[in-house]
Amino acid sequence: MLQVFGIRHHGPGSSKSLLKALHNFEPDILLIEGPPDANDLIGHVQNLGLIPPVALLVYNPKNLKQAAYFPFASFSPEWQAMRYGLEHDIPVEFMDLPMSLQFSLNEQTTLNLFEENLPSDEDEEDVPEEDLAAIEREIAAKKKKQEKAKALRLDPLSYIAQLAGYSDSERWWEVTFEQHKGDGDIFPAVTELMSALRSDTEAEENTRGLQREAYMRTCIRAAQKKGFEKIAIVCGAWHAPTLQDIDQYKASADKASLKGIKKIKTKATWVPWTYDRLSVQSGYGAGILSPAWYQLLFTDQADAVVLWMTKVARLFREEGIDASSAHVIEAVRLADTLATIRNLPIAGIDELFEAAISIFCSGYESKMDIVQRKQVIGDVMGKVPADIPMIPLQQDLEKQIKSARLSKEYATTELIEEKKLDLRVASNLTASQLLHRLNLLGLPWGKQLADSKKRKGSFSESWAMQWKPDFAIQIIEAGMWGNTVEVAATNFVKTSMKKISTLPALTKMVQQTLNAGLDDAIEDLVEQLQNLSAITKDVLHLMEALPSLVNTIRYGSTRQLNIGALEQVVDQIIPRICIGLPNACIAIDEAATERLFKHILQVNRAINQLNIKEHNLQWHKTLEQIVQSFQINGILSGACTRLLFDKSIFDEKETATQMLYALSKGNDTTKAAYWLEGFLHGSGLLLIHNPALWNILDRWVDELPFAAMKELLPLLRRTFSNFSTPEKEKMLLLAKQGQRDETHNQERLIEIDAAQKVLPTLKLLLGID
Amino acid sequence: MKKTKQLLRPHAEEAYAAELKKLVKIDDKQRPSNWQLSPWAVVTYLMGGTLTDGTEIEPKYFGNRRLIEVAVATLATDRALLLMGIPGTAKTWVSEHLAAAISGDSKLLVQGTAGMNEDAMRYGWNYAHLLSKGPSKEALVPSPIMNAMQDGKIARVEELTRIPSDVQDTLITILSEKLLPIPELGMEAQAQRGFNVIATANDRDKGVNELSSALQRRFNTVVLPLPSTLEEEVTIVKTRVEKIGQRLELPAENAPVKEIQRLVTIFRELRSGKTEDGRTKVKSPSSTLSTAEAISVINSGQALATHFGDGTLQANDLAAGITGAIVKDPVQDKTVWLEYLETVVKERKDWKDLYRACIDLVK
Ligand SMILES: Nc1ncnc2c1ncn2[C@@H]1O[C@H](COP(=O)(O)OP(=O)(O)O)[C@@H](O)[C@H]1O
Ligand SMILES: [Mg+2]
Repeated sequence: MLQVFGIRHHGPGSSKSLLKALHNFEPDILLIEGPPDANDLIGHVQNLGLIPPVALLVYNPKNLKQAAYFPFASFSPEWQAMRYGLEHDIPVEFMDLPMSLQFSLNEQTTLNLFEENLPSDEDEEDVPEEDLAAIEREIAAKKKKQEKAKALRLDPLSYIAQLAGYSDSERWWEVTFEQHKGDGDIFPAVTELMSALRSDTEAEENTRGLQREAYMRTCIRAAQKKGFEKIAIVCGAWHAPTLQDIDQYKASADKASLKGIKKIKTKATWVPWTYDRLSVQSGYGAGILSPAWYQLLFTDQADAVVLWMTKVARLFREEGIDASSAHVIEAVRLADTLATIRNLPIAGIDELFEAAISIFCSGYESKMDIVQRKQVIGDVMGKVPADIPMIPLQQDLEKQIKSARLSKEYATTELIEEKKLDLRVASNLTASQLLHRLNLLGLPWGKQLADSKKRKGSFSESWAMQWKPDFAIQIIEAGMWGNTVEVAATNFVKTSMKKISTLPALTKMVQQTLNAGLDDAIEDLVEQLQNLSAITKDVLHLMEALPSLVNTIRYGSTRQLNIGALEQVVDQIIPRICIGLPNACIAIDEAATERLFKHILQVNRAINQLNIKEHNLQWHKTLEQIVQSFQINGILSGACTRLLFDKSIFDEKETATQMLYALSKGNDTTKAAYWLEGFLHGSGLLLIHNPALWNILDRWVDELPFAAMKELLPLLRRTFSNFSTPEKEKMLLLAKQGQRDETHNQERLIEIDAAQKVLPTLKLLLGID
Repeated sequence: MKKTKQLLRPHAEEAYAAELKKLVKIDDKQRPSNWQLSPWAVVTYLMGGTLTDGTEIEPKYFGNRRLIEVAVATLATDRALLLMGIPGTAKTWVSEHLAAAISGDSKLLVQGTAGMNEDAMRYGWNYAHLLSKGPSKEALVPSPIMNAMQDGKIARVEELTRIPSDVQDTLITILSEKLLPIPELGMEAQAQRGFNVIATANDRDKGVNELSSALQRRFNTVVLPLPSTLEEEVTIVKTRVEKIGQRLELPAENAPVKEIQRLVTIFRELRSGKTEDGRTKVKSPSSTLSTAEAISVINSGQALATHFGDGTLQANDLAAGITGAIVKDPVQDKTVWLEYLETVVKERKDWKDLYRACIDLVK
């Protein structure tokens, strides 16, 4: 005998009905819609260390782009079916069209699609525009139809639920199938419903679907042949009719439809999954899949509404938000009434959610983020035990993780753990190198936090840690580079550096490689760096690369790095920058000017840090060249004047001369304002400390024609508004103090005088009344 | 019927008397005590739809049906309803229509102001009467809320957060005990079933007289948002403009969709700080630029066009209204508006007329 159980994937209601029905039926074999490639892995379901949500990962070891995941939650009918079968000691097998065949079919379909969609040149020219529009509309309509058909096939039950006005299709299942609590045999009804639905022409099954069903029937026939008498078939409801009525299909025809498909060798393993991924996975306009809610429906259906709302209240209480039992009562009442208005016999997740917004969040949905994360989606990640087959790289990674004393078990989504590492501690250094290596391999488990990068020279790093389930496939993918993390990362660097064509990208890789402690790769990299810096014409690229190189040199000692080779590179780069920069400043647009401005400041800082005499001399000469040039945007010459003033290369007098020149009457006022912006970048205090400079500015402001003033004021204010608030306050204070101290000596009085003059203009520029 | 036609602004229950009558007739769902309609029919009245007998119900509120369902469910569970949102998001409008649909009466209204005292919430006295005959039932002048209690109807409180906190607190007893003590007469007014309160409050007024948590707990809150898409907002403005135009006897032919579209686009872009295509950032002015303001700008523009222009709405007729709505702060808003005109409006191909009309006014 053969019984088909058409379920809703991940439907807790289906799960419960299925278990009841299986107990009644007592099958001697279980066939489940799933990839036979993973048949050997079914046994692990009984392993206590395998905790859902988990997914079967089937992949082509030779081409990791061919990979498929099959996720299961504890409430998924397939998961419950596997457990049932294992507990009752009957054979459990997957019966879907194997991925080893589907992968090769996929290759063919992509090829075909490509050919179909490729219009020939002639066609395009001949079609008048209106016709094109019509064709586009037609294509859009067709696409829409296909999408609908796809949604239908994927989750036909939720499609019907929506037609019945349910946004929460689980509630529909309950109301429709579970109210008659009898012997629980609802599955014939489901199959019948699907038969009706499948006769709708719009829902026509595609070729692949037909092939899959043919394969499933082939599996069923094989089981019959082997003499099993009570065969239980667990499949998505959509397929149920075509498996139940197996006698109406010819075995030979099924075989024929599968003939000649190339077979690709696959491997399979279990990987941890998350509720977050589970909810993204499904959907397709089939209503939100809410794993946390489904879990509740599976374990505590009778009290689900009250339980859910109580959990929400407790969550809010933890956040310090008022949420009493009275709130819970009101929220449950509101949800129930909402359901009534919507003609639903019981409230679903949407009603609960909306009621919670109104009662707990004063109507603001934005405050529900945490509820969405924890009580709608659920902050749950599954576990896979160590004794499940792993590829070598994966095994090495596990070993490294252990010796680095890291752990990859934490929550998902936005909950990111912050990890502090002290690089003097051996295990911490290992951890840091491991994280850097994984980053190189495209597994951003840890993101180094900016502040730890800034605290240079210190031995500490901080990392934001977030393990993601899909790293599983990336690890397998990285397996092609080598069998240990270190070897794989080294090979990856050596190979990919050859494809890098810009200096900044390469310096970044140098830094990463040094941090990752990949000594074997460094030598090759530095050589590559030398070559590339020699041929780089773009001064901007050189300027961008320098600060990061200097950084690496200065703090390389923390990690006992070999930096001699890098110093050589820097010695070559600085002269090249000095030669190229003045010309690079000429005839560029505003955006390029902004970029250059930033780079000049950064290079200046890097050269100061290195503090090598020849470099300093050469750099200052270059800055002077820029100051002298007529053609250069004011902001750059202003900035360079300032840098020279700060280094006392220009004294107050020389600086005043430059300023006078820049702010002279004949000059374009906008250019002058830009000059000021560059000159005053970072701080304006020097204006107060150097009366000569202030006087020039003051006179210039005074003499500006009113119209020009109005035009320039925003620009000037931008300059001044960039100062920090404490600095602005200090400027004002300095200016005001002069005013108050009237009893002091002669010399002071002059200052006071100056200060009094400063104040009105200063207020104008700071935008204060 | 004739009388309502002549009123400048008839109450909802009069303006839509025909619809309400049809709904009452066709509504076979259960009604809470003293409700004229079932919750389902109330939602239908607000959101519009076609009845089984073919009657078309006009949509009153454009937006998320689910919000209106929460509002109606709130009232059906005997909880008071607080409608929140920035000005011009149809709080008053929705409140009026809810009251009309549920109680057949939207007139029991208390307008919240800063100078309000408790009497406006409870009752006052007819002093002539009081002096001549002493405290008595006859001398008592009930507030709209007290009337609503006695008749089992919906009372509306507008701008709740403008009311001084101690006066707000009067509502706590009314809402929790459903009664109003009258110590002067040694008696109390008890609320009939069907009594409830819909209050509105303004998001932007925050901090003025924030609701005490005790009062807040008596309300379920629904926040009415700005329209989510350009299309939706244009529909709202168009529909309302046509309605109001009929009332003001402006020629009906011109629902100036193009102008509405441009205006709503400007308002939305300035509000959100970026252009609709998401490419350009713009500064936002201090003004609210609500849908309601868009409606009134179009309306006054139409009036201008009818009485002083050639009857069709032109950019010129709108310029003054737009500028007035945007520039509330003469310095900062003006800069923002100028910048927007120069960088966005000027660049748009078909917007030259609008640019010229507006720039002339600002400069
Ligand atoms: N979403 C909307 N649906 C229908 N009308 C709207 C909408 N948003 C604004 N309006 C219109 O705006 C006008 C003013 O709304 P109002 O209720 O006074 O705003 P509020 O009380 O929120 O300040 C009303 O005429 C109303 O019709
Ligand atoms: Mg209002």
